[in-house]
Amino acid sequence: MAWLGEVGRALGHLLIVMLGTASLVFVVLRLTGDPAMMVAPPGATLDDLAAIRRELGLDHSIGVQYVEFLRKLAVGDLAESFRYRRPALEIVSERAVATVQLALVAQLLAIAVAIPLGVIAAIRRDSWIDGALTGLATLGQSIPHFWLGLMAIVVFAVHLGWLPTSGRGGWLHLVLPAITLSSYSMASLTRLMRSSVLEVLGSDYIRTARAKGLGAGPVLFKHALKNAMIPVVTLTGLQLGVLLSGAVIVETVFAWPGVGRLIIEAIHTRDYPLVQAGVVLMALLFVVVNQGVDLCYRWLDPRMAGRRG
Amino acid sequence: MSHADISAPARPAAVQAALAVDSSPRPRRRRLTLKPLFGVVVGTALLLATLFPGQIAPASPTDQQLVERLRPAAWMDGGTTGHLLGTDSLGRDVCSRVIYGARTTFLVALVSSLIGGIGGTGLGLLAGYHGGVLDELVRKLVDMQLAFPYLLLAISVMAVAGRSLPILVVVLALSSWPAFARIVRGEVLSLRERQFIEGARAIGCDDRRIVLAHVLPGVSAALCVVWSFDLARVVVLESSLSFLGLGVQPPTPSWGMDLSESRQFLQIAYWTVLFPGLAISLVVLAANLVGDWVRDVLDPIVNRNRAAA
Repeated sequence: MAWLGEVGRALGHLLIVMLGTASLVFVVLRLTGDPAMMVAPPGATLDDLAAIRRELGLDHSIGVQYVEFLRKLAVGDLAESFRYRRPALEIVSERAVATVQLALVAQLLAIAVAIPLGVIAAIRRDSWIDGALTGLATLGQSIPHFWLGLMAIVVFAVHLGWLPTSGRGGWLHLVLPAITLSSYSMASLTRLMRSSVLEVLGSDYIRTARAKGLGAGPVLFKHALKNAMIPVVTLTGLQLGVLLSGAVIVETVFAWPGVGRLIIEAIHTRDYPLVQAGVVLMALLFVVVNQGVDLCYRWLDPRMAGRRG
Repeated sequence: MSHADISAPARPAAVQAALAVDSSPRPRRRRLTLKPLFGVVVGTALLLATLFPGQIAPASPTDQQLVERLRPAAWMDGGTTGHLLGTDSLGRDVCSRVIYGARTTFLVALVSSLIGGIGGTGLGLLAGYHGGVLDELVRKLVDMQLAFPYLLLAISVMAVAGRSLPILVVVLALSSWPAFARIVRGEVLSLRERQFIEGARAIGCDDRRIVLAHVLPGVSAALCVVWSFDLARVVVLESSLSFLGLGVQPPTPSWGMDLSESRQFLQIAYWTVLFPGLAISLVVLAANLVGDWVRDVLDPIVNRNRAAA
């Protein structure tokens, strides 16, 4: 029954974080500017503006607007987009699939590449291979997403013509954005995997396993890897924020039709409901996956059960 | 972070093992001197470009020569020695814009990171030393902000509150404090129980004096490490925002903004994107390497896992 409590607490935490995020977004977006001015056609009279304000609910006090915003949020109604004249949440949800696809592929790619590389670097510690991999990882952590993406377009799409420059279509369209987005996570995970394997290989139980005559292979794969993975799982969860931030940039670079690019477009057209819906949805995505990782982690490492991370 | 918590009790074993490993002769010195050297070279170049851009740059960064527009770098077909790194879409000298852009990047990153660092260190000292409700509050805030996709918040604030330099600095500084607060708090927690603090209290020092004269010097080593990594992070965040058109505004030269302006000419004039991005990557890489190096020198074993994340 203990896990039911865990799930309950995770849900409670999720609600609080969602409320906090929604409030923050509301405050930030109402700080300046009059949204009615943005939707009004050029040459609109004061009467037109008043009508638009009434229609958008902007004629009430900010407190009433806030309560109304939360009430609608609870039932999933996030106002209409000024520009598209459709429910904002509907537009954002359509785009969410593309973002989730990109982020998921990037994260899987990062894990699939980082774990073997980290292990290789660790077991060949201080060799040239370790030096090259560690150096490459530092480089991967230092090159910003947008520049890596643009350079990848120049080399692989423009000069070599192997891959499409932008947009979303078949699997080929996914290659460059996914690799670009995964670069930072891949680099961090490789470094962490390396140090984690090194730490585990130096522990007493591995020495015991070696002392009883086990070969290097079984020691590594049967004993060391499982424990070395624990910090990596944690980091995978923690990196979600980096991944979603990166998605905004990468989607802009590659014209990937996801939520990130939608938010940037909506900012430039001052489409507040759309920005609001986009940020809230990204936050929801983030919190849900993060709590999921947290639960997984407790299950993986029983020592953590009952402790707050 | 959770994995730091669980690795703490296992530390003696890890330390022993690592000491045993490190006692064998290994060629480590060479790599340790390369890292700071790279940092010093890039740092000096950055400082010179910040202080004397007019003396170094071949031309004015805002001087538009439309006849000379999109000219390639000097060593490419069609390039002239007058424009060493070519010209952008408005006929401005790329080399000069990269040199002048250094000042914006360096000053904005330095000031933001200092403000955030001082704030974060102060909160970390208070939280770690006094504990209680304040400690709980700071920990919760740090956890939430470190994990949340901060770029989303930064984008919303910049879009709504206006794209001015002071607001940009505040947004960047707000992104800096959690890393400082977390590390300082952790260090203070372990320092607090030491005998020299108890001694200071016994001879009648008040809390303020203990914190400033006895605790703060003890955390300064950790601060150096956090600060260099934070500088790298702030440079990336600033250029990301400028790239999205939400950071530094024209005519102030900025690497991120140059990238965003030149993006549409990527296919025909990649040098306009290559060099500003290269400059960003070199600065970030230098800051990361210096951070790595300081960490290795100060605390070769214990901190490795924590900061790799």
